[in-house]
Amino acid sequence: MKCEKVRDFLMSDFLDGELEGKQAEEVRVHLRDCKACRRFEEEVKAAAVIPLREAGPLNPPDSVWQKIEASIDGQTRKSWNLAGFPESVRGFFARIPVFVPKPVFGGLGVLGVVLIALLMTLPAGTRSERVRNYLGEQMLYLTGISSQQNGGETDGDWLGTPAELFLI
Amino acid sequence: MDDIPQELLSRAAAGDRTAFKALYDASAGFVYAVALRVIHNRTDAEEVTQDVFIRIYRGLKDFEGRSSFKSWVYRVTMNTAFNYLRKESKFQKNRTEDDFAAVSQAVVPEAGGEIEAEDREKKVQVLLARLSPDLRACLVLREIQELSYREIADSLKCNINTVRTRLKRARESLIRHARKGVISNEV
Repeated sequence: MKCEKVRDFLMSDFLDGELEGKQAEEVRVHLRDCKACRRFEEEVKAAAVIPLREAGPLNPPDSVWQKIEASIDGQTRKSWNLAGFPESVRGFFARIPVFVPKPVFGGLGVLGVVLIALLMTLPAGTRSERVRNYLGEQMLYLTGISSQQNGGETDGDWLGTPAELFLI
Repeated sequence: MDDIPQELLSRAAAGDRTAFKALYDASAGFVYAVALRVIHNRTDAEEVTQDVFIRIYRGLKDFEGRSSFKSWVYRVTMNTAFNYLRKESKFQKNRTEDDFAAVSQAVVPEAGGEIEAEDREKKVQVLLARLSPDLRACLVLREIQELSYREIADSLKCNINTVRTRLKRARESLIRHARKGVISNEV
């Protein structure tokens, strides 16, 4: 094997233990016989291997874990609150991601205000007439059921109770 | 970084905070060391470490074990570190002495003493600062984290030949710098 090829391997596969079999053996044989390549191998180790392998372990400060926890807890608060539900229900909902970014809350709030404002702009008469009609139909239905159950007559003037007055 | 037991991964994926803390304790050293040596800034490396573990926390439920947890952590770490460098435009080769000093303060003191450990770390930082981030990442994963070519290729999402070429170029660069240093001393 020629020196150029050997030096190539000395900076890559052979140095990193990734060269096997016949090629690795050829490099070893070459190094036994070639002083220049042996010197080159030492140079590679001194410049690019030993200083890095002497590097010690590094650990992050405790504050890193604290910030991770704070971030996780912030996400957990936005998740489904299913305490008390059976495990099967919690497991089902746990698979559904719930992550509503903060601006959405603001957007929903604004939409709600706009809808209320639109409702308020409807003519009062129109609004109350619709409501009155709907309630009237419901009350007739309910009083009909009640009279059937009690076997008695109902008071046709159903605008008597405070609740009814409040709704109308 | 040692292999993580599957039982611990399952518990952490189910939301067990103690299990996730154990995962963190087992892998934070690797993540932080790689981030710090690739980015060369302690504050930024701490941020990258946080981002990595938050991504791991969110992704644990979907981690199906197609690759090992270790490989997944390597990939997320390198991806996050490089994204950070690209975003912040911090491809800086020339760091100040203060940067090296700050980085070496993250060293875990060993039996040889705190000062020796800090000096060694400063030396590492000076060497790595001479390389581009791509070459630096390969060399850190190989020499300091002792990953195989296959593991490095998986972490960096490149092929093994690319890993081999980058390691060669990194070592050639360090040898050139070492020779210049010898020549300057002689002169």
